[in-house]
Amino acid sequence: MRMPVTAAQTVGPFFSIGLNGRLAPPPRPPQPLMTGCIRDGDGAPVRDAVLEVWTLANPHAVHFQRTATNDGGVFAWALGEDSTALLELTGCWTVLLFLRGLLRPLLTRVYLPSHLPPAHDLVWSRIPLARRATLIAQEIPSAVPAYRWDIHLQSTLDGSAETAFFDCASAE
Amino acid sequence: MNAQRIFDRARADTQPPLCYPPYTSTAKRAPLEPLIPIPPTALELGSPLVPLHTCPALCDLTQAGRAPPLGERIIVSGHVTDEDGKPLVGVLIELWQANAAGRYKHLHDTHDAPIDPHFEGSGAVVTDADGAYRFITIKPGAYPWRNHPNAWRPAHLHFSVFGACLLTRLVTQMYFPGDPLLAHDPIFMSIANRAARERLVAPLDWSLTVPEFGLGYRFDIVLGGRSGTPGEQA
Repeated sequence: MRMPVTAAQTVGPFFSIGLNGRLAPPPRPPQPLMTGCIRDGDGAPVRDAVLEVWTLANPHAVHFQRTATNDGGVFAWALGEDSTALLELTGCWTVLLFLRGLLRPLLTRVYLPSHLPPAHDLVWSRIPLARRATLIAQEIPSAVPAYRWDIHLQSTLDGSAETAFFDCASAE
Repeated sequence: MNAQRIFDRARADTQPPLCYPPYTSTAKRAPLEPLIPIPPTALELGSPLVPLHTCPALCDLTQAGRAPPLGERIIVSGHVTDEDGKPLVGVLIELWQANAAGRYKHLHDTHDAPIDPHFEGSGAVVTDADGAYRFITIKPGAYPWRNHPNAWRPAHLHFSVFGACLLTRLVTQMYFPGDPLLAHDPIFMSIANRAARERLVAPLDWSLTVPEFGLGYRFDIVLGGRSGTPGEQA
């Protein structure tokens, strides 16, 4: 008998009480890092977001890192010493985003301009051409690899495009 | 193992929508473009190497302070299974909540209710060999929020649950039976399917209730994913 999956609810504004005990240590320069700002439909920074970053460690297991935005809506996660090797394996970082005002999490990905997937890639090929740029991080000039990737929950009047978000399931 | 599992798209009315106007924060925070359907890859199906630290299968939130917190002591317990009813062992559950007065121990909670110095409001457990977990805590209070005039959240516990992979990740809230605020709460009411939302209301359970100690509430959690035979795979 199939049992119905428990419904999701928002993480709310006070998640740090329960979730911050397992935050990954913040990146410390000169550690390679990914950073950016999360903004809402008014362009306002989202100061109460949790990002869970899932990266392929080997074909059967994923690294998991949790980070949260600060009062400026800015997040950062360390790419780790093995990030280049990981990137060869996975090509991207998968991100689950939780925040007040989201009744269920958003799923997205970030790619590096130097490691874009081939045209036939199972996921990349499904993303409309016009929206792919929202998933490509920009290199920050730096002695170590550092990238910037901003997340826009909605398009804004100043021309920022809504980040591409996914719905992932194996059965239609 | 995971590669053989099937993850269905949820029936639309059994999960909340992204945009739900009665919950006003969704207006500027929920994406407006349709989600892009993608098939799961190794990234979405791989087992997470989650830093569990050392979480026991029982967590007592009333023991975190130097003295017991104020409020009604309760037991919250249940099983975590997949859609086939198979117990999920070693699943990390994180819990956070307001205190008995309806106040979170958080810098940004400005509700004028007392902070309880003996209550942090957070706990974590890992399910045991039967997929079971158990928390001892206090019943949280209702509290006001600014969603609409005179808006009050029903008493609730926040749950975060890890399953076998990214696709089973669940963050939800548990509610208490008979709460008159439920029907007025846009977060609870965002789940259109009545049975689906009432599954978030944990019934009083005499088998979990400990005499002379505390009432027990049962909150069973079902994570996405079912076993499939190869012929069923898309």
